[in-house]
Amino acid sequence: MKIESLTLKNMAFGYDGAAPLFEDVTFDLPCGGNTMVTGPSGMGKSALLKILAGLLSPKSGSYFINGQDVCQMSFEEFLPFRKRIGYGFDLGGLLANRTLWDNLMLPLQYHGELPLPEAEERVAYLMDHFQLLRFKDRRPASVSGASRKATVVARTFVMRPSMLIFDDPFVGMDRDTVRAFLGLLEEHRTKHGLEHVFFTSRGESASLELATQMIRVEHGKLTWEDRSDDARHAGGRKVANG
Amino acid sequence: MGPLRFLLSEIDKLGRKVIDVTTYTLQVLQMVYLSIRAAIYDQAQGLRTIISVVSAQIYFTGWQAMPLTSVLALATGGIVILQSSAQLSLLGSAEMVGNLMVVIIVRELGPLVTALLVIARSGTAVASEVGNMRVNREIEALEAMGINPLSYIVFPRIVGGVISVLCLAFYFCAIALIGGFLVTRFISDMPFAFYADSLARAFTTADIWLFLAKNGFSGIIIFIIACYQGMLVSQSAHEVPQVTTKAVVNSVIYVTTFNLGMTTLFYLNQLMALGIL
Repeated sequence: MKIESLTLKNMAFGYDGAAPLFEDVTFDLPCGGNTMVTGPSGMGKSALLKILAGLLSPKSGSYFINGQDVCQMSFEEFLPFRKRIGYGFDLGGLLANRTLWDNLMLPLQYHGELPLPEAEERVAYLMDHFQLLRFKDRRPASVSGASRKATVVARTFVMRPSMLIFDDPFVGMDRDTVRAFLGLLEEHRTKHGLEHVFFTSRGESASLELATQMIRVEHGKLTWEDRSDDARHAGGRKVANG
Repeated sequence: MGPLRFLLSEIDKLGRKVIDVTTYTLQVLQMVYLSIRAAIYDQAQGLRTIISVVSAQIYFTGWQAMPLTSVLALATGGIVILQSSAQLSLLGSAEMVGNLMVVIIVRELGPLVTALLVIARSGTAVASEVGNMRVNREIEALEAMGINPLSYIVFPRIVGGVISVLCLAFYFCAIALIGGFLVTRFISDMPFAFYADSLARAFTTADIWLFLAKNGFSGIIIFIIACYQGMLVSQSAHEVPQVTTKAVVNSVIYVTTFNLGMTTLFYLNQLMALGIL
């Protein structure tokens, strides 16, 4: 299933017992390219990404993918979209009682997407790409934080999604892993149908390099800015508010 | 006005408590429904996945609890046989020992002691496991991978829990009835044939249904409350011991209330069958 449009309509969200992060936000999310979601801490960058991934539901309003209201969908109805979306956590997110290998194999085995040998081949490739193969039989608690982070990032690629969402992808990554990650993004974009990438950033150089457009989240408002080479060469910024 | 205000405030408190308990019960029942629904609708989750989680649950809840169950069952059976046979002999009704054992062990103590044991061992384990999974964002990760936590985490634990509680309760009753008798052989002169004959005459089909209902539903209650409480953890690790304690307290209250309700219904039914009611 191809993801063609992402729209928030009159969306409001806030965590229970806390001040609302968003109130009445209507916004067409920029599709294609690498979108950096930025803004001060506590303004709702991670919440926005979780809403995009279908992990959080808006308190009111709607979130449309391809014109279909995700908020009205059951888990099963949203599943075809969910399988096309990869989500990388900033911290945690690995199943503690499974090895790194099993963590990567789980979505492929569970959904029966591939015959076992092909699934193993894909997982082995990804683990090798992030130099994780030597830790494949270890559980998350017995590897370094950098390896855990690399495993979380690698797992987002196993289903070959068309949309990838990362919460602070570069935090806790060493230089080699950053390089491997950027290379894999490019590879999936050219060969495996990856179209949309959203990620939060704390202004790391790698994320500024990666971003082709930017959404700024501040005081419940979303602002879009084009950072593509064309826009930069034109010497201006295309800005839209939501 | 003082006493009237006090009375009204007490009625208010009682009303709020009733609403809280009813809401909690409905939410727990909703989780039972949703987990069964998720398991039915989840096309991806093969029988193999369910069986592997169920068998692990049976191993931890049933198999590993057998030594402790044995000790409790031997002690309970021995005590009840000693006390009842001595009292019944004084009354000249020693042949009623089987009836007394069925009533006390099979209908009441077996289900209740087994449930309390499972709450203490496995209810706590499941609540803290699920709570820690919430803290470590494992539940969110499952959702992100398109795996419904209700069908992957909750449903197999309920199924495994029910099977374990049924088997453990059966084991408890068998050990209490037979092992308890053997323990008392050293201090009692009751012949085994007499005891076995008395037991065989005491069992009825209704006892089997009561046994299945009490233990089956106790299993559901224990594991759904443990999972529900675990899922209530929002972000912080300090919530895990709190929800675990709450899971134990709520499970004990719900299981004992359920057992009392079932026993009441059972005896009302018997009285109706006898034409007394």
